[in-house]
Amino acid sequence: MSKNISNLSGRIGLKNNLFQKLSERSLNSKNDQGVKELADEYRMGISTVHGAESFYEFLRPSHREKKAFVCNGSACMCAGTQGALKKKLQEKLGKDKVGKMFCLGHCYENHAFHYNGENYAGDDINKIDQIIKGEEIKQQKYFSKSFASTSFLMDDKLSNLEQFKEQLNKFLITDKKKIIKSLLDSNLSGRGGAGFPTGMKWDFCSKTFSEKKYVVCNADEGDSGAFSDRYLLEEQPLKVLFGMIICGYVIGSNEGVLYIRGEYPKSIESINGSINVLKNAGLLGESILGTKFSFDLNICIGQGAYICGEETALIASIEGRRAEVDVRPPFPVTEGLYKKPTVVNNVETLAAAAGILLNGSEKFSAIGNKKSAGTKLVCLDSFFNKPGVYEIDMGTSIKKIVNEIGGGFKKPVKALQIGGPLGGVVPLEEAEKLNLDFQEFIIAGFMLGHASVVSIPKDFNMLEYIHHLFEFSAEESCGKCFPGRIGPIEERKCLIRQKVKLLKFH
Amino acid sequence: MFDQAKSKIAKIPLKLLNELLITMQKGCLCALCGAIPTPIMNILKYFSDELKNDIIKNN
Repeated sequence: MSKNISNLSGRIGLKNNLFQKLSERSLNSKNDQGVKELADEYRMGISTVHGAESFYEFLRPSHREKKAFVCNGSACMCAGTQGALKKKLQEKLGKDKVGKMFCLGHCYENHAFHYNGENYAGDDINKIDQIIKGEEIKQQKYFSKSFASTSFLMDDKLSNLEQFKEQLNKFLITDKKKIIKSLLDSNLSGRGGAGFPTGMKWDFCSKTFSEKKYVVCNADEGDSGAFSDRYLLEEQPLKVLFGMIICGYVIGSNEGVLYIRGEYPKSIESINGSINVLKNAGLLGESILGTKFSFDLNICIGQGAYICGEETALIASIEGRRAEVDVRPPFPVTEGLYKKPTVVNNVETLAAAAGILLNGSEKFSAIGNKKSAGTKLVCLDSFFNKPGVYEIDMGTSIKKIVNEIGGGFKKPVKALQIGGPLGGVVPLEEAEKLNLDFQEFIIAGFMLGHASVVSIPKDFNMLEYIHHLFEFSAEESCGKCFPGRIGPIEERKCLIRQKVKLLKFH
Repeated sequence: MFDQAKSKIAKIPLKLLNELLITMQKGCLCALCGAIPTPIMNILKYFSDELKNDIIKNN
């Protein structure tokens, strides 16, 4: 069934993809107007289109009638700033006009909320009157710095159009096998969480025969505590796009898409701007720089589903199906978007690939070890004295990251949740024994994942934290597999009972 | 299942919770539900002291 839908959706293709069409329809009308026409256009049943539409939180009427959204990510919850913030917003906008969103990527300053298509955080709530009036206010930026021995992700080697053109000129005449070899030599593994070797992924896809292939950049960074993708999309957009174009060249694809989450309006703006600049300069489009290679890029704006960070769900989402996970194999490299071979890479992976090509693979593989090579962006939340996003060598001790780079804690902290809501909760004393290394974390029973750090303060109730995690997974589970559909809900029920009892007795 | 646990004593049944977590870890299709047991199990392991009043071991 889903194969049929994928093919029908693929008939019209990426440029007018069904997901973007159905989001627009839903956001621009209050009723079912236009669903039938849309379904007819794609030759699908109304139920299919409606089913997909109703999957996304942002497209639901209950969400759309709200005006402001308070961040309920783990970092903001631990900081304890959101209750007062919600109250203030409710006073200004009305009691039922304030909803919630999961992590707006402002974990370094908290007090995060979304209003009228923009994100605000930190002291911005004090200027709420100006914000409501529509005036532009000056916002604080995150702190970013590279502590790496060689910077691959934060350097300025691809910060303007001339550099981009020069490098593209160089690599579009380089042998494809040589590019794959240098990625394989660099030992770069995927930065999205699963850690699959990137060179191997590109190699597999380049060897699969098909007339049409796709490059997908996964910029659906839902993990609370992480804003590294946001940093790359906003500060290093050319590096990410360079990675995508080279990937397209290597695997033989002429079309790519960035799936950026709707919670990051600034990132969408920045990437959109960069794509337009590149198109105007002739660095995207038909026969780039006089070569035979053509490549075009599109943007898909996510509508508030965390599960879309999973590659098969992301593909389903772009195709206009319900964003449910598919069974693998077949892996996307053989049967991906519209059932065509597809490379799905995380933002940081693509930027790192560009960094490796620019700086040389030997420098990347020289850092860390074979399975955890190179540098990694690490995000520190507001409990640190120096919160921000840092580029750090793999293999650096967590002790050094916490005490030197992060400058220690503002308040006593008992544990760190590293790697988003799915990563392990590491007690501080255990964390200090570890190094920034994927394998080491797994052996110790944790997960490095995206290397985002959320601090859990000493006075925070752990039962509350477990409840938060179950609530999150019950909310965001796609509902395809049985244990995932039932498990979190049953566990949450079990906790709610305990919580009710605690309230009664206290 | 949970109603029974509730009528006996309204604490978190640890054995049942662990079984659920292992089922999720082994049986889920993707990392969202397959990996969410990791942090929970970490908390149960390292912060059992803090949770001991909310949990019963045998159920």
